[in-house]
Amino acid sequence: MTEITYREAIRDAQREELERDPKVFLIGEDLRDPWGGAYKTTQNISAVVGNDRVINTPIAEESIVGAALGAALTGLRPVAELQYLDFVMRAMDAVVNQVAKVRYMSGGQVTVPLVIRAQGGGGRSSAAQHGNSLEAWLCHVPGLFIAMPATPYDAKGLLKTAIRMDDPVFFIEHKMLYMTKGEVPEGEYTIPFGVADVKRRGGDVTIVATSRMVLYALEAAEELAKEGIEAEIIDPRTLVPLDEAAILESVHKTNRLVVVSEGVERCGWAAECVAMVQKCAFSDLDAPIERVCSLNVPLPFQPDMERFVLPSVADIIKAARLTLGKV
Amino acid sequence: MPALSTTEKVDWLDLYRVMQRVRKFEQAAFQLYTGGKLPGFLHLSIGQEGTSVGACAALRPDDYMASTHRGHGDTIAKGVSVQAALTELFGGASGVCHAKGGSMHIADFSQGILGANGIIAAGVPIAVGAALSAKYRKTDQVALAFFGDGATGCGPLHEGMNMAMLWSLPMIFVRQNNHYAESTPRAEYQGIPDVARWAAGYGMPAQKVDGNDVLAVYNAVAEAVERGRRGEGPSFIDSETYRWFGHNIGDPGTARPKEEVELWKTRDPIARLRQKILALGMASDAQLDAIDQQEDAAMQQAIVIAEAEPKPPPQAALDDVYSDRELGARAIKGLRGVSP
Amino acid sequence: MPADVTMPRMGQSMETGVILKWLKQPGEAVQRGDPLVEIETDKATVDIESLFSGTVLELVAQEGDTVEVGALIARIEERVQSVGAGLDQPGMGMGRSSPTPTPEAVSFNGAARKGPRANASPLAKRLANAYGIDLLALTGSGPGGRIGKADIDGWLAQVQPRAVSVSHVITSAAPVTTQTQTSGKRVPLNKMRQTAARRMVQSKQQAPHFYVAMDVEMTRVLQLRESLKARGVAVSVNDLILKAVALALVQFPNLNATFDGDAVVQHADVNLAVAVAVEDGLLTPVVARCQTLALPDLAAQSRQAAERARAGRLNPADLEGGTFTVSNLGMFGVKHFEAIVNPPHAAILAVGAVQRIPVFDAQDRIIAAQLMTVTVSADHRVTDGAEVARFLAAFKQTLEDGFALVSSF
Repeated sequence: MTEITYREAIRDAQREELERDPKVFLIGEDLRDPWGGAYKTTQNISAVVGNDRVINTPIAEESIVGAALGAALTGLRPVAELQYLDFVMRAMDAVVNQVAKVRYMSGGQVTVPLVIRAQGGGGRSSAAQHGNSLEAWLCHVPGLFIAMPATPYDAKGLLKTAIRMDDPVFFIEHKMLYMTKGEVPEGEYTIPFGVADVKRRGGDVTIVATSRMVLYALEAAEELAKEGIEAEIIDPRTLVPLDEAAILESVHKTNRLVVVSEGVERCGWAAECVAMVQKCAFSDLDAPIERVCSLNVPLPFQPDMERFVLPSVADIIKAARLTLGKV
Repeated sequence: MPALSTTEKVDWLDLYRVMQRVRKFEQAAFQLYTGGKLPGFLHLSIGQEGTSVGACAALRPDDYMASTHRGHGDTIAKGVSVQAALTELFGGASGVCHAKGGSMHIADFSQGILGANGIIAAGVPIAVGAALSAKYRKTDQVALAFFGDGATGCGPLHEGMNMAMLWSLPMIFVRQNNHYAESTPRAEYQGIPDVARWAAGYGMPAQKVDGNDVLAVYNAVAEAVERGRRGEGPSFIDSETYRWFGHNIGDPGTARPKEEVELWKTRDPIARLRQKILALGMASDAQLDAIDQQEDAAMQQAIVIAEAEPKPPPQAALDDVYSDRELGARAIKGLRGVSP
Repeated sequence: MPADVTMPRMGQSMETGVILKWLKQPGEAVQRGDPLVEIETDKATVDIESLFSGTVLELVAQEGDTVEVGALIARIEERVQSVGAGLDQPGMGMGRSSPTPTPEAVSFNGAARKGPRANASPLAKRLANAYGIDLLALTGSGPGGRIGKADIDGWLAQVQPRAVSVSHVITSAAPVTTQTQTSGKRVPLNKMRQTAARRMVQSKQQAPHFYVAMDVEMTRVLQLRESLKARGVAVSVNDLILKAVALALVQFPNLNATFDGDAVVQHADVNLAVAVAVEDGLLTPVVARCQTLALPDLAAQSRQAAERARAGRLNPADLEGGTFTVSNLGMFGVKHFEAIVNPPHAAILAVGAVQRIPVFDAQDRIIAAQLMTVTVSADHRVTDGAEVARFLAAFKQTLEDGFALVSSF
């Protein structure tokens, strides 16, 4: 095992897959060396595999995705990058009406081996147009698979899997996770989609968390343990398909659930998880399910305000205690 | 200027036949739709056969083509089976898209047809991607994107033109200019009168052709295709034509003056080619009539078969969302009817 | 009672709708939320869901009819839902259920509910259903008084199973046979016995039992009883025992307690669960706040409880809230026995019969004494032999002295 950063994990996954399969290529803005991507997630790649396979595009998100789709439909395996998840809005028709649906609308004539990578999330005063967590928008589109890794280990393994899949994958990274570190195996490994990871075991309350919120949940769990509350933390890792069984098994054990998702609370992914659990584990629940999400306001610029809007470790602790009837 | 030699590379009678085929298909679609037999929307391309057929005649089967919501003519011209396409309109299980797409999404990837598309200009970036792919794989395939005049102001068209020029892609942009974006005439949506001029502003060769002269269209596109195959980059063709019917069935017909419609009917591309064929002695009236009758008979038979084709079971709606069966089944699973 | 189904307004501009297809026919059962009819508006075709559960009575509008919004299209014979069956309330428009009616939740509409409902978590409901507990009889400890699993657990600990909690009876005659018999009668256990079986096993498995016995000289107690009786205060020997237990527990709160992991919860009141022999076993109705009750009141309550128990008229509240159990088999002639602690109590007192036996007095002369053997079974997680011994000593003293028993009135 070696310790690498989340950023390096993403980079290594892409480079390894490029080296493995000549049909794989990268396409997006500012990807080529020496710049290597706005968040340096494609650094030292074009220098190694050549500019032919790392294509810098004009700023034209709809066509970046559209062209990547065209390439995926004609024998190639593109990995497209959207510099900020927020910019997917420019490409939503291509993502929602084209990428996700062409296989279906053609009656299964084609596969779409396309990965779209983007980073989202707040925490560095990037303000309302550069800090959205839009996974709920994408999960709402039938035809996509959605991955949202929280650790370098998960990021590398899932991205390699995504690139090898024959279906479109939206791979959501987090700008505040890029510098976090974690251990990855030295050799080749992949992580299957649809398998959650129990990041911490406990018997008193289940906390389902995604992306950066997994790290927050772990911090919250340490605090909760001090007052004798042992939280079990489930990281779904992929939102579509979702490992419902892992979540339900945990709720069956603990009878209490907190769902932490950085997206805005209203109609966010947490609501989907809550709906699923209340239906499938209704009589396991000893308390209403708590959601911990961003407030229903745009993300403000000033750091204190931003922190106020985003979910915090304290919010998670409070929610967990609430499910246990403590105030 | 295109030499007559380009035109000699194409079989005029074949052009005539395919245009008739498209015409008969569209006429059949009209009758079936107004007779209540076809669900959904119908956007007829009657009158535009010259553009569809002329352009696609210049493409190889392994070249790529992306079309619009008004795609029956384009896709038949590019080689989709009439039977499979007609069955698709009926919603039959053996339709070319297994009843999943319908009129606006006819696709046949085995013929390089990237699909008709319900979203204006959405096919352009996809075709650009196919051209990019051809270049990446170092083949001499080209990609052609049809789009209407209604796409003139649409973002992806401009993005695609910029990209194609930037990367010198084997792309052919063919604007099917029928002068109206649904109900809106050119003066209300287009910034400058001559689109070929602004296309040229992107840096690519741009040409305006009489879209109802199938040979002129063929020549222009064939030249653009050769340019693309030689690695000389994209071309733009503004093909002027007219649709005889409204935007779709249900169009109240109030957007265009009746005289204008009647005028353009006199410029029927099929009639014009027929005249040319007869004038040059390439075939006789009787021979051309025979082609008419063959296409007619074939279409009638196709209708009978298409109508009788069974519809898919409703559960077929769950198929083919993903190619991964196991993960796909999990991804589409919901809570309807789930007993915990 | 027939409910009217009317053409719903599916949009602001909708004035009429066309009945395309009835999805239910007269005579068919329909649940609230089931698709009932497919209608067409000028914008779309929609399925309309039933707002009522019951049976379709009559389809007033026919397929193909154009009907004005608000006009009657069908009638459904409503079946009234049983209490606790669902959270749906007659709602607005499309029949999607409105959110939970728990007291602390924001109420989105004020529609009246059908009948009293317990405020309980889904888990508590499931457990209550399994154990045959009426939730309306419980008080919840959760937010807004919500009943949760903890309350169910607490409840189960109070309810005395209809099985004898006696571990063994020394003077009983019949030897216990250990051979399994192939013939004989198989008597299924009823719910209460099953519960009891589970709870007694749980008690024995989780609470490490130990036993301390002591003899109490009852002559004075019996005299006291006679004199009270002469003055019109009817108390039983057991009532006096109960009072003595209560007073002793006040001095030893650790025995009036419940084990809770890393702590012992000492209860504020002494609520004595008093074992009453009934036809098919034992019930333990609770006499509350025995430490404050005057002896006549305690006697009256214990008598009433015993009567109701024998008549089968105890209600769940009567069995709730006990903190310590007293089980008296003296009336059967039992000299001494050891009981099983009733979870979640910390201890139980088993009382034997008063027996007239010869003892030595201070001068080593043989005299007659009235001795009653009492045995405490206690949970060694909570207490120890020395403490129980001291408790028993206090109990013995209170009883033998007698004065404290009557000092409060």
